[in-house]
Formats: sequence, structure tokens, C-alpha cells
Amino acid sequence: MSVRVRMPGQLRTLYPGTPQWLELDAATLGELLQALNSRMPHLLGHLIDESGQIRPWVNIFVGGEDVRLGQGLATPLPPGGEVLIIPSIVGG
Amino acid sequence: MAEITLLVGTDRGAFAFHSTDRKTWTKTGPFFPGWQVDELTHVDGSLYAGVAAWSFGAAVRRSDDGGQTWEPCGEIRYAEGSEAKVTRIWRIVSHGGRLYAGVAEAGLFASDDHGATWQEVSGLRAHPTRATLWQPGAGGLMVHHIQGVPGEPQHLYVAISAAGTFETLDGGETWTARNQGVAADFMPNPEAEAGHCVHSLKLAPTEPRTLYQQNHCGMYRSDDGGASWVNISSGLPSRFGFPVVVHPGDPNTVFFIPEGGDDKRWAPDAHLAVWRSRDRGQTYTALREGLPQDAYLGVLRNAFDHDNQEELGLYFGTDNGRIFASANGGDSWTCIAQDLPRIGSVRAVVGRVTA
Repeated sequence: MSVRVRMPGQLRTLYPGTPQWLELDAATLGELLQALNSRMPHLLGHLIDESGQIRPWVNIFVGGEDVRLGQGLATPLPPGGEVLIIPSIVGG
Repeated sequence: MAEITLLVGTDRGAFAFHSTDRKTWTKTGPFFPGWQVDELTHVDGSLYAGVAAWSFGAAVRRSDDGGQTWEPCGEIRYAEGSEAKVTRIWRIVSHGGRLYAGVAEAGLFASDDHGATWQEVSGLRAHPTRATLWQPGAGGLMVHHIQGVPGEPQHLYVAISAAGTFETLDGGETWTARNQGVAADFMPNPEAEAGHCVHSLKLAPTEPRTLYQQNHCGMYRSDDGGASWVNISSGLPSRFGFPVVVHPGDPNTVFFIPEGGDDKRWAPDAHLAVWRSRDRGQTYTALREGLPQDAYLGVLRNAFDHDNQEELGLYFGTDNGRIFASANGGDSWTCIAQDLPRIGSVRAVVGRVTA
């Protein structure tokens, strides 16, 4: 089932040609990140660190909810839902 | 005269500068705008960049077309579940047919397939001093210099802040701390095996048992492959600084850029100079022609290099985004670029290696 995911600008710099919004088939957040990784090799390492968890300064929202406060990588994705990948504000 | 490319890594992207006469320079870039580029180098016919971002971690990118396109290399990371995280890629070096990457948190990785996959050289972090004596400095805890001994593929030195200098003779399986004679004023035990704050480390390629280091606590030379070190700070305006360059053809000639001290990281009394010794650090000459003498700037550990030409070209970048070049072994200098982001890495390469 298709969901939309918004890619942060800094990662799009590393993967030129990536649009701000992508549409991919995935049922959970974990599946979505794997699908992104297939499209952008080694992207996963920028989102998941050695702990196996989402990097501490990366925030991922599904339907406006921070997945860190919910089911993390197991978060189900509703059909047509929106996923936002947003780095923490650093500085400023 | 050979064309020279300067590869320049900054806090907010990378740039390249080209010259056919070492007088006029043209700029290309930025590459990786917005990313911290701690390393941009040309190895075995390819460009490699070590990039990092606070949120998104570190990665290596390779370009085989002069920087027009970049391929993601394999991930450099510690084993899943490790408490250590790879946050920066500080140096990428080819030695003995392998590619090595020095990283923060301090460790060493190797690749035998041009960066497609990386394996940790785990012997380094297995050193018994790591648990008790390795500590992060202001820049973190990282492997920031890798020096391979010419003609000896298994023989390398690494410099770790703040752990000191380490040597391997077996390609990284086992390591020996090489810090004897080096001060560590910040530690209670002056004879400690490790924990030293080496800022940069270079060996003399034509006499590789001669090594020089700029340390937090002074400038040092080793005449015996790192087994012992002598302080060669006397005659300099400060013992503090970051980079060191050794003349590629003359092991007796070494260049330092002292700073006023760790409490004020700019040129001593704001009078910027490169200090050259032609007698292994016994005496020094201040080279300041063309350099600003009211300069509240510093030069970081990997931001000083030479171009290996007979009339030696020297180049350094500053923490306020300027690049200075000398085409006469340091006798005089010209500012060839300014208003760049903070510069952390300068590599001089013979030939035009970016498009």
C-alpha cells in the first residue's frame, strides 16, 4: 500500500535527483526505510545508528505523530499516509 | 609545470582549486553543500570524500569522474549493538593496496574493494589502553592521521586524539603505543603508555624512521620509528598548534604553524607565520612574508599540505575560510581564497583531478 514520504534536504544533497516527496509501498515504517534504502543505497545508515534505533537527532513522524513515542520502526503506515523525516534543529 | 589541484574540505561542503602556474587559481564546487567534509582526497585514481552531519552521521562518497557524480561507498560503522558510533570520517589513505579510513569515535576501517565494503581493523580498539587512557579532546575522540611506511604494506602509524601514536607491523592485528618521551601535562602519570594528545603526525617518506608530531604539549621528532620522541619546541613562539608538514624529499625539513596556546587558538600575538626548520627542529625560521600580521585565525590539523614539487608548494586553510599558498617552499605566501566556511582539510594533488 502506497504512502508518501518527505525527504529532508540534507539527504537529498547526498542523493541528487531525489524529489522532496516520494511515494512507496510499505506497511510499516521499517519496511518503508528498507524500500528507501533499496532506492538510495546505504541511506539506512543515515537514519539508523549502531544501536539499531533511529538516530537521536532524526525525527520521523507518521500521521503527525513522533514514532519514537509510539511503536518506532514497527509503526504501521496507513494507506495514503504521510511520513515526515525531519532532522532535529541543531544550532540557532 | 604540473597542474596542481587543491582539495579543500570545510564545515559546510568542499571545494577544489586548480592552477597551472601556482599563481592564478580557479575554484570548482561546492561539493556536498551543507555537509561537513572532513576529508576530500584523491586516491588510486578516484576522489573520496568523508562527509558528516550532526543528524545523519558519516559516510564516504567516491567519484570516478572528477566530482561530477558521487557514488555512495559501503557504510563505515561499528558492529550493531556497539556503544561506539561512527560520527566522522577524518582521513582516507591508501597503503599496501588497501584503503584505510580513520574515524571518530576513534577507530580504523579498511577496504579492499575501493570502498564498496569496509571492515573494522579491530586490533586498534582492542588495545588495552583504550578502556582506561583514551579520552576525547575538544575535537572528539578520533583517528585523524594514518601514515603508511613506504615499501612496508603491513606497517602503519595512526594518531589518535587523545590517545597518542600507535604503530602496527602486521597490518593492524596488533598495535604498540608509541608515546615515550611525549608530555601529557593533563594526566597525573607523566610516564603513561597512552592518553597523549597528538594533534598531527607525519613521517619523512625518504627516511621513514623519522617522524614528526605536533602535540597539544609540544612539537616532537622521533629518530627511531616512534620508539622515543624528543621535544623540538625550543625556538618557537609557542609549543601549541595543530598541523605539521614534512618536506617530501628532505627528512630534516619540517614546517609548523604554532598558535598562541590552547586558551587562544590563533597565531601567537596575532602574527601569523609558518615556522620552518631545516635541521630537524633544532632551529627555526619564521616565514611570514605575505601572511597577515594582525590575524586572529587558526589552522586545523589536516589543513596544511605540500604539492611534492621540486620547488615545494605549500598550502594551508584557516578556520576563518582563507587559503594561503606558497610556491617557494614557504618563503612567501599569497592568499588565494577567502570567505569559505571553516576549513578542516587541505590536500594538494598533482594534476587536475576534478572536472
